[in-house]
Amino acid sequence: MVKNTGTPYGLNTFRPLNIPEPCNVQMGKHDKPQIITKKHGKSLSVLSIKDTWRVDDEWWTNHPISRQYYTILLENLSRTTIFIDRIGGGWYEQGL
Amino acid sequence: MLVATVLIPNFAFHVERNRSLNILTSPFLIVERHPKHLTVMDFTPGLPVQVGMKIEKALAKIPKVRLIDADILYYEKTWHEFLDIFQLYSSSIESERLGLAYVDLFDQSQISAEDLSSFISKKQQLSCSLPIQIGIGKNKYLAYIAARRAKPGEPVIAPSNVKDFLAPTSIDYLPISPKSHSALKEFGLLTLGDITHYPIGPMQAQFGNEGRLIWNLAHGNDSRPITNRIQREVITEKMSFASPIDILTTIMVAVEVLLKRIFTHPQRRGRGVMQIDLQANTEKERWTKNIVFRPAQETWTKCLRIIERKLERESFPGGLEDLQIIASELTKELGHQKSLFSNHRKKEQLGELIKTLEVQLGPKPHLWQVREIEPWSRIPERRMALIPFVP
Repeated sequence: MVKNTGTPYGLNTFRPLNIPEPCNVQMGKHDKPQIITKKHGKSLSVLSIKDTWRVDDEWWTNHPISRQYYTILLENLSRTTIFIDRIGGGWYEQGL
Repeated sequence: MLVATVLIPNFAFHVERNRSLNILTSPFLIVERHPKHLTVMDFTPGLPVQVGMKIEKALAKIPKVRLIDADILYYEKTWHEFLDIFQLYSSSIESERLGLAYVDLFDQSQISAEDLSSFISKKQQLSCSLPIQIGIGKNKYLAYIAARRAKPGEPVIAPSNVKDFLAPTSIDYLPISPKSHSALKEFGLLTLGDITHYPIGPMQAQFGNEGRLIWNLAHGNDSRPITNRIQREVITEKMSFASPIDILTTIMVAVEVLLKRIFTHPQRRGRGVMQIDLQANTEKERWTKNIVFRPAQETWTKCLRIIERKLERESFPGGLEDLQIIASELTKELGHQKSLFSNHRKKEQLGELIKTLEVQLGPKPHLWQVREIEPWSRIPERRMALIPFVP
């Protein structure tokens, strides 16, 4: 993952969309996400996993990408997509 | 390049005092109204307040000070009229803000600071009451520091030994963010001379792009170009009332007359009006109302309807003694012929919309455009980006 430089967005800033936001995920039975704690500190339990897939890319570079994505339905009935960075570790929430 | 800096500290204060024919002798604050709060725009020199300070804080320091509503349009008009006298010397004049301008003298080595000073005092009628400080230098920053050191009527020319000239200057005169100002102070760098003891590398490492600017300015290098001022085109019409009026129907009649005058003004020439400022002196205080039209209005009848709707909800502080309407942000000539090329028309509409936003949000609103970068990418953050929108 490329770290956020902390540069404030200005008129001359190029701003990628859908940047992953770090989050905490507690794993439940069968190694599946059970509770997600978002960036702002709110914890929500996972009702069901709607989809899961894996992305392995740029393995030929110095910064390979390997992510396991989950589309999950939360207790407030919202859908969100999270992934675990299989190389650097850590969970992230990401808009698609 | 030779630059002259024209500096008039507390410009709005001096303009306001001149307008009142020097009746305003007690200290006063000029207050700017924002949607949710009031801030100090200018003040009588010597008061313990700062520009941009919230009015509550200012009043806590000086409880019995007089407050005056800022009349920005009038200050801008006076400022640009004042700058017009420099057109004889140069066509390139940058107005950084009210009270600070840079005049590009284009290497006119024959011009001396004294020439320029005497020229100003002869040409402009306000000079007797405005404390004009003039500094001349090889770039904008040197000229600015020279102007800071100058006294009214005694211009200062930045010498060739730039290092010694700048060394004692406080870092408060660097055009950088407040965050960088406080960081410099924390590092114990209080003057430009302190900064010159360090190489550019650590400054850049600490402050990024601003570090480079700080270092260069401290060494007297300033490559910032002079950007020509953009003058606001305005049409002003005014009417006085024999006795104060506070009935909306009567006020609307006056508005109608003034709007008709504005829309038949040759300067408008079929162009749309995007902003109207209504100003009036009432028995108690000055009343102002800003109305932005979206889209731009081409007829006075539509303008009148919109203004009436707005004024129905308005409470006037007292009976109006006069009424002034200032039409500004005139668009390009508007045609009604439909374009065969809808995309072109959309672009024009977008341009007009952006202009409206500029009026509402300030000269440079942050406008962004979603642009596909690698739509095919399996990594979501690579697919799209927000980029600054250039019309």
